[in-house]
Amino acid sequence: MSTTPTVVLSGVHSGPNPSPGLGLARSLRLAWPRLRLEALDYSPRSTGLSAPEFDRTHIRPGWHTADLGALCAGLVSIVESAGAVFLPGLDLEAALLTERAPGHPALLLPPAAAFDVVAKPGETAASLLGLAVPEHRFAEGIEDAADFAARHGWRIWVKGPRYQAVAVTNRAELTGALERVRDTWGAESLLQRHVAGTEESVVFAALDGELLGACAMRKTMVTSEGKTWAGAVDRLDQPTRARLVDLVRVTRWTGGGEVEFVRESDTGVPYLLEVNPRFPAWIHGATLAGVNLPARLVAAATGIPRHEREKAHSSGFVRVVEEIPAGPHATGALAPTHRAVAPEPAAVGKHPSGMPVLSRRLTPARPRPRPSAVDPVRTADIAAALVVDPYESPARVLFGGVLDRGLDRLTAVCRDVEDATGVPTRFAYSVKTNPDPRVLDAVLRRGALVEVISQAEARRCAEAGFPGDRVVLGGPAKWWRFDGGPVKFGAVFCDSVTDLERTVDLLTTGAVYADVVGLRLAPPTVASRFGIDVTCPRTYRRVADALRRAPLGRVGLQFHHAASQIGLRAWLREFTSAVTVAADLLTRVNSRARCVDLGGGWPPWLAREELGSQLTRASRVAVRELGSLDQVLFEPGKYLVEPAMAVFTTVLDVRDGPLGRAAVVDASIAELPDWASHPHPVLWRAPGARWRKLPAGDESVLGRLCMEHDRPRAGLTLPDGIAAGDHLLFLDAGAYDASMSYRFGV
Amino acid sequence: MTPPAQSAVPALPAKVPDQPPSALVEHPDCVACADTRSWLLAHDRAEATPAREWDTTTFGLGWLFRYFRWGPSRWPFAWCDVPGAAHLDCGVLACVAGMVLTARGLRVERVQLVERAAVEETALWRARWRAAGCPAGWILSDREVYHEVLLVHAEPEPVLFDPTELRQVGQGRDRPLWMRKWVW
Ligand SMILES: [Zn+2]
Repeated sequence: MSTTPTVVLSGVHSGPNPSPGLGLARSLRLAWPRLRLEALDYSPRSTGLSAPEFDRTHIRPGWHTADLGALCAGLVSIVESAGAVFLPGLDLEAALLTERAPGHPALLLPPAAAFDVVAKPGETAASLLGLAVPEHRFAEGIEDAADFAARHGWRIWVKGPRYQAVAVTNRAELTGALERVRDTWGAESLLQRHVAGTEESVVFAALDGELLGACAMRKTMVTSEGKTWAGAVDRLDQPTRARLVDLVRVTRWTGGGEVEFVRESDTGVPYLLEVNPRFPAWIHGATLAGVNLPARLVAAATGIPRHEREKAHSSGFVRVVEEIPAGPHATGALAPTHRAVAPEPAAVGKHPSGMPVLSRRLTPARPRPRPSAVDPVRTADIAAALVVDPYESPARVLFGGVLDRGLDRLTAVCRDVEDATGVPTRFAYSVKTNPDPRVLDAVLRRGALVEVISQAEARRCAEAGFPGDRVVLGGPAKWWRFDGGPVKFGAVFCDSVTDLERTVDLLTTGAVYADVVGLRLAPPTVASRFGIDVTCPRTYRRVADALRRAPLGRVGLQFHHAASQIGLRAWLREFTSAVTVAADLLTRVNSRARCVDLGGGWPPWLAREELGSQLTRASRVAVRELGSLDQVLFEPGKYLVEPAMAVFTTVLDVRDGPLGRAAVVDASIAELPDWASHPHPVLWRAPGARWRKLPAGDESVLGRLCMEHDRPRAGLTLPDGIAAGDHLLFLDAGAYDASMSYRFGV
Repeated sequence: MTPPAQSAVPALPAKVPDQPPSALVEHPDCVACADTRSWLLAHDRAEATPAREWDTTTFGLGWLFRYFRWGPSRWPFAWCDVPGAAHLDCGVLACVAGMVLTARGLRVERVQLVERAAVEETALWRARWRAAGCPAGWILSDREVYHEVLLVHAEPEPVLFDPTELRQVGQGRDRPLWMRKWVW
């Protein structure tokens, strides 16, 4: 047994996303130059094993080979035989040790209760710390995840159970992130709304429920993964310290810990990101700022006297990259098979400590999910649409019932907004989404308006029976192939200052008559190629001059940006900014808006109440800024027709391939061209059986085309009994899947 | 933790400015001057957030820098010169920020400073101003520059706010060498 005081540190890899072991060693070395430090890790590729701070290194067997119990017992025996204390640098290893060697006095790690409190998303920890938790959901699969992402404006994080957080802004990134997290960690992802603001951290040390010290850190430089590269260290304010004392006391915390949170820019609300059950990798930065928490912890746990006084070298820290001589074990970084074949450099190990392997071993296997029953309303819709059986395949089918109920819902939304605001409210169906004559006829019979973006669409609507005053004209190419008129529109919205000038000319010459003429406002802080950004000072001046030269009669303001892309919160914020500035602009030119038109991209899953309250909020903002209004319009497209059509297909082949098990069908991305923007739910029917919904998983449906990317749906579990001749029904194919479909490979 | 080291008593500057703070020209009956002021106030209203109420660091004026960068302005400078400008100097920014904050109901006073600068900085700034054809009289010496900021009577206490740096005077820099609150 060694007589020199000894500390064993695990997790010593020092890469772009380092473990804390090396930082801990540096802090302890600063406090006790002669302390014995031993490094412990699970592969020779952990680069910190070569660091001169360590007196001895232990390379343990990888997590994939060993018996977990034996591995834990081995670690405890290393610590005990050295008469050492142990500081963990790996979350999962710490959790496992807490479970296998609970309360061991030499292992400075939190008790099991503390791990429960900090498990993501950490609601209990957040409530103890007085922090909010960002909106979150555990992902069942891509349909569920895409729904969550759309609700939060495609600014979300996909997080692994303990490690890894991937920022996601679109469908392709979401699919990739879900697959990566599942393949790496073996567990389901936690989805969390992105909170825009300043990220801060609180690091602390505690022994048996007593706080030994803490300090705050604000990241001043981060890596592309968002990891700290430089930071400013500060003392903790009194209220935060008091709450931290509570957290540490009720969990009887032992060891290091880190609370990461973000203060939202718009609201100032602090949100918890996560609590780590160990010291962070930047811990030595706190030591350099005069707070040596690892030394305080080791001193309190062992009674080793401290002679040095903690000294602030600076109030901040930066990271540098440093080359050091490789230790003897580092030759093992090149696997023997590589040496035998081609000596390619090994990639920097992302996880040389083997946490993914351990995570997969600790995650219980889940049973294979089975197809689920389809609700009776949906079943009736399908029965009414698929009257002939076997049907022509592939075929797009219209669910008349879904269309009718969608129109009912839109009518009800108009009534809700009107009741809440007192402003007459109507909707204008966006024709480009799906110009099917059956859809136009249904809209016409409800007395609603249509929104068109070309003269050809306008003529199509006239042929369908829409009078000119029920047609809203917008878009950048509205006068393309204009026949000279005269023609009448309910409203015309101009997409640029030059479009405004051209439109004013046509109105002046009498070629065009419009009840309302107005501006399409661009969203101020979201990039868009459409509309007029009145918040830009030069544009503001140009529009003011144009309106002074040619005053308009009844002025309208249109705001149109896909809420399904930026989320309802951001949509309302962008609308409010744009309309606030536009209101003052109109006042400057002695004009006033009488009508607002609220577009679009309303996501189909929005309930009547949600859409109604969003439109009500926007209308109230408009009335506040513009004064009383004659009319509020809104423009549903996808919202009405996306769920109203499906693509009926027949299974041609079921195979095992490089992408896993897959069914090949007689449809393709030519019939489902919008496959990349939203995951179509898929129903399955064996001959003579009922339709059933396919659950999430990692299998695919492939299209009939000889194209690599003709995979209209991935992320499914195919039923055990699926066979050639069965039918699949791709739901939610009534919007751009219909209007943009093309003939290919037929 | 000890605060970063700083000189106890700054030495007085070589030259003490005697001119009043910068003032933007307002052309009589100029539609564009009035449009500019209308745009500034409308945009500032559009950017209002709950968090802005207690932000005495930036006062929620970050949006100005979506359109402008700090740099040389050619004086005399009018309100109607603002929309077309790519760069605004500290005098223009103090005028613009002062107008906007006053419209929010805050009492704002103009403050003139002399600040310490590094030789490398003043050399670079002198070259920038020369390249833009603007006089660089604000660079008082190789190590001293004239600067304009605002005293904002915010809650709970008045704040010396630097609209060019979007922070309080003294945050991240040495204390000014000389300071004068201007009384018109
Ligand atoms: Zn002017």
